Amino acid sequence: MQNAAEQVPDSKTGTMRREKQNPDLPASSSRADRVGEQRDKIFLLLGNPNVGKSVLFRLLSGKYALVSNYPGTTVELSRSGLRLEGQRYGLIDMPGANSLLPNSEDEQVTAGLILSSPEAVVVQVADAKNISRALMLTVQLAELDVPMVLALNMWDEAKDLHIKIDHQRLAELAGIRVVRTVATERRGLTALRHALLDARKAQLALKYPHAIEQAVKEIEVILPQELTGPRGQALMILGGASDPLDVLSSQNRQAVLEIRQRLQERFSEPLSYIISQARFAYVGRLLEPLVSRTQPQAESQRSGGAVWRGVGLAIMAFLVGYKLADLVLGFTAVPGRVGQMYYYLLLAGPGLGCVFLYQRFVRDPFFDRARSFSSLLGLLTMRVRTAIPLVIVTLWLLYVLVGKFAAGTCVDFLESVVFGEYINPALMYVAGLGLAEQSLAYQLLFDAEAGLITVGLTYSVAIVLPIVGFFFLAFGLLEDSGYFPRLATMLDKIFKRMGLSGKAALPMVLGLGCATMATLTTRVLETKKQRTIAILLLALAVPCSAQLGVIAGVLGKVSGGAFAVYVVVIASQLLLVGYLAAKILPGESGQLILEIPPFRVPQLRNVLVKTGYRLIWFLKEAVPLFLVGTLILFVLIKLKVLGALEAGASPVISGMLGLPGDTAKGFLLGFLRRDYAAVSIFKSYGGQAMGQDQVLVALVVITLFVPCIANLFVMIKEKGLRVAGLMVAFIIPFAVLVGTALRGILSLYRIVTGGVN
Amino acid sequence: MEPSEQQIEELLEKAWLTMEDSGKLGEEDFLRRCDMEGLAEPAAVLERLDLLSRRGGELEFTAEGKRRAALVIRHHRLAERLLRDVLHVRGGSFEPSACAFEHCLDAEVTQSICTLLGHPTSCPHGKAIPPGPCCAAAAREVQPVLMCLRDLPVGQRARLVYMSSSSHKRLDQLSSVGLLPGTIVQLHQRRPAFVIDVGQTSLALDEQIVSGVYVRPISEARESENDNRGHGFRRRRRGRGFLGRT
Repeated sequence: MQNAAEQVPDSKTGTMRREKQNPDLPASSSRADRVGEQRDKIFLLLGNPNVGKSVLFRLLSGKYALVSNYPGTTVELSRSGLRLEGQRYGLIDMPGANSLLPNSEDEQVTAGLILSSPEAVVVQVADAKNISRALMLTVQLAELDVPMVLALNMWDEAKDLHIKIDHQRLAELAGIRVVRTVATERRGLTALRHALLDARKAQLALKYPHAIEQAVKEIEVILPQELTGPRGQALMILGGASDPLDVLSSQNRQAVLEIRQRLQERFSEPLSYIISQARFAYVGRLLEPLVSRTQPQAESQRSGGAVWRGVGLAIMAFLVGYKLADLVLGFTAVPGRVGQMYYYLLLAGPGLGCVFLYQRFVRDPFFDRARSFSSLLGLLTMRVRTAIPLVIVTLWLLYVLVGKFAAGTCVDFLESVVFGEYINPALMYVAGLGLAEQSLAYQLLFDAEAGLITVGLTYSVAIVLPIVGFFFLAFGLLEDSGYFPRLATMLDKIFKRMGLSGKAALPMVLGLGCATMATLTTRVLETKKQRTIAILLLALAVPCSAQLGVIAGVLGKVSGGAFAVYVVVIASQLLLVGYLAAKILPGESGQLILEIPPFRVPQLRNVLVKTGYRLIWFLKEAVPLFLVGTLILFVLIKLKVLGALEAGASPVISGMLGLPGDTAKGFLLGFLRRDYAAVSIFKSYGGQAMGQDQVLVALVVITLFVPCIANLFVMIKEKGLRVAGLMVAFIIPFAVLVGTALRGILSLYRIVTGGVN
Repeated sequence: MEPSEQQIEELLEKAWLTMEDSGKLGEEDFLRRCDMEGLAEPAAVLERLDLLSRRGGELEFTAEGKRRAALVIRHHRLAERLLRDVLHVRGGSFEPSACAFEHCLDAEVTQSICTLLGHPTSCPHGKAIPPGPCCAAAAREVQPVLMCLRDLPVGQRARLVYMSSSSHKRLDQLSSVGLLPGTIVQLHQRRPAFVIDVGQTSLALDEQIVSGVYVRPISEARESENDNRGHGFRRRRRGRGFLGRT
C-alpha cells in the first residue's frame, strides 16, 4: 500500500553524490565542526525481511514508513535524513533481503544499492531470535568490507523464548558494535545512535573449500584495483550475481565467467549453494558458544496461561459457531418461523459444536507449544478446518464495520447532517453574498449534478472518506497481527491453479487496500510470469478499498444475497482469467516459499498512526482527483458533450448492460478514481434510479472495468507500455461481456421464478 | 581363462539370489541364472576359489564365499537405494547403473552411503540388504532412516540432510531462508500447504518443494544433546500474547 515516505523507485544510485572520504566516522564531537564533509554520508538499513527495519527507520529519521507484520511491506527505497551529534546524514530504508544474491526484484534493489555505494554505512537489523540467519548476511557484508553496525532487534521476543545471546562476545569476535534493541518499544535507540558513529568492518573471515578460494584469488586479480571488498565481489560473481560484472570490460568479464564455469564443473551442486553451506557451517560454529537456550522451568506460568487460553478459545469458538449458524440460517426462512428465544437456542447448538471442535484440535499435544492465546490463534488460522470458519466470521465483521457502520451510519450522518445541513448551506450562503445563483462560478461550486463542493467534495469527504477510514483501520489490525501470510498459505492450492503461489495472495489482499500500491508489491514474486498474472488480476478483479467499501454499502442496502452473488461473480472471474492466463503465458509458475511471522497482538498505536497516514494520503491523492473529475463532468455538461457521449455509449450501456444512460458518466469518471464510479451508483440506487439487478450488473462491471489512472501508470512502469496496453485492451471488452452475461442470467432467473425486479 | 574380479562378484551375486529365492543353492537354478555371464562351469570356478563347496552333491557357500556374496549384494542394493531415493534415477538406466555401481564401492564409501541413507534394511524392490558393521553400531543408537520431509510425521524433529532441486535458483531461495543441510526442522502441518519450523522461523512450502528435501529424524532420547546448540533448538513459538504474557 501507499507509503507516505518519499519513495524513490530508481535503485540506480549513480545519481547520489558522495565525497571520497574515510569510511570510519569520527566518533568524537571535536570534529563536529566539519559538517560540510559529512553531509553526504549515508546509512543503509539492511536485514532479513520482517525484522523491523522500517520501525527503526521511522524512529531514527522521524519520517513515517509503513510498518506491518509480514515480509515484503517495503518494496522500494525510502530516503530520509538523520541527525547525529549535530550533523545530518542520509538514511535509506531498504527492502528486506535474505542474501545479497538476489532472488526477487525487491532483493535486487537492496543488493544493487549496497554494491553501488561502497562508502555507505550499513545498519544491519537482525531478528535476535533468528540470529543465525542474520549472521549469514553479516558474513557477506564482512567479505564486502562494508563498515557496519549490528542491531539485535526483537530482543524481548528472544528473551521470552529463553534464548540467551552473548552479544558482547559477539561484538568482540566480529569487531563491530552490536546493540540490543526493541524497536517497537523504542528501547536501545540511544545506544544504537551512538554505535552508528563507530561503524567498522566486520572481521568474520571464513575459509571456503580450496577450489573456491583458488577461484576467488584468480578473480580478485582481474577485478579493478579500486573496487572495495574484492573478496566479497568475487564470491558474489561465483554465486551467480550479475551486478559486480557490470564494472568489467567485456574481455575481463569473459575471463571471470570462464573461471566460474570451470569451478562449477568440479561440483555437482550449484556454487552459490556450496558457498551458502560453508557460510552456514561457519555461522553455526561461531554461534555455538555464544547462544544458549534454557528450557523454561516455570510450569506454573504455563498452567496459568493454559486457563486463559482455554477460556479465551472457548468464548471465541462459541461466537464463531453461533455466527456461522446465524449466517447460514439467514438465507432460509427459519428465523421468521420460530420464536426469537428458540432461534437463539438453535444457534447455541453450533456454537457449542465449535467449542468442541476447537478444543479437540487444541488437545493435540502439538498445540502445547503455543503458550499464549495469540500464538494459538496463529496455529488455528493455518489449519483448514479451524481456519475457514474464522475467515468467514472475519469477513462478516469487516462487512459489518465497513459496509454497515461506515457506509451506512457514518455516511448518512456526514452526508445529510454535516454536509447537507451545515457545511454546504453555510458555504452556499457565503458564496451567495458575492455571486449570483445563475453565474457560472456559483454553479461550478454548487451545481447539483457536478458542483465542485456539492458533488466533488461531498462525495469524497462525506462518502468515501469514512468508508476507507474504517476499512484501513480493520485492514491495519489484520496486517499487524500477521494474519495475511497465514491466509496466503491457506490459499496456496487455489492460487496454484492460476500459475501463482500462495505468496501472490499477499499483493492480492493488499490490492483490496489500493491496487496501485499492490502492483508495486508484486515485486516480491520470483518469476516474471507470476508478476504478469498478478498485475493483470489486480487490475481486473480486485476492487480497491474505497470502491469495495462503497460497493459493500450499496449492496448492504440491497440484500445479503446480492452481496453473495457479487462476490461469487468476481471471484469466479478472478479464477477463470487467472487459470487461462496461466495456460497461455509462457514461463515459470510460482512455488510457495513464504515466511510466516509470529501472530502478534497489533499495537494499537501503530495501527492508528498507519490509518492516519493512509487517510492523509487519501485526502492528498483522492480528493483532488475527485475535484478534477467533477470539473471535467461540469465542463462536459456545460458544453453539452456529455449527452453526446452518453448517446454514443448507449448501445453498450443500455443495449448490452441494460443500465440507465447516465451511468456512462460514472464509468467515465471511474477511470480517474475507481470509487467515483461506485459512488455515482451509490447515489443512483439511493435515488431509486436503478433496480436491484441493474445495480448488481453495474457494480460487477465497474469492478472489472478499467483500472484507475494511477494504477495504469504503475502498470506501464512495471510491465511496459505494450503489455499494459494489451491488458487494458483485454479488460474493457471482458468487463462488458461479463456484465452482459450476468444481466442475461439474472433476467432469466427472474422469468423462471416469476419475480419482478 | 581366469575370471575377472568383477565376474566372480557377478557369480556370487547370482548364487546369493538363488539362495534367497529358493532357500537352497540348487545347482540347476544357479546355472540358469549364470547363463548370460558367458563363463563355462560357474560352479566349478567358485569351487576352485574356495567360495563354494559341495556337500553330498548339494552346493553351499563357504564362510568366505558367504561373506563376499553378502558384501556384493549389500553394495548393489545400497546403490539402488542411493540411485532411486537420492539421485531420482528412474526407468531404463536404473538397473544397469546399480550393477555398475556395486563393483566400485570400497568399505569406506559403502559405510558413508549406508549412513547417509540411514542404514536402510531393504532395497527398493523390498529385498533385504545385508547389514554392515556400521548398521550394527547404528542399531544400538536407534537411529531411524533418512526420509523425505514430505513423509515426516507432524511434530517430529529432524535434521536436514540434503536438498535436491532441478533449479539452482530454488536451492538459493531455500538456503537464503535458512534451509541448509544441518539445520533442524520440525513439520507443523501438511494441509493446505506444508508448514515447517526452521530455527525460530516458520516457513510455508508447497509439496513440490518439500518433496526435494531429505531429513533424518531425531529421536527424542538424543534431544538434550541438541538443546544447547546455537540454532535448531526446539521451538516454542510465542507471539506477544495479551493473555499469556508474563
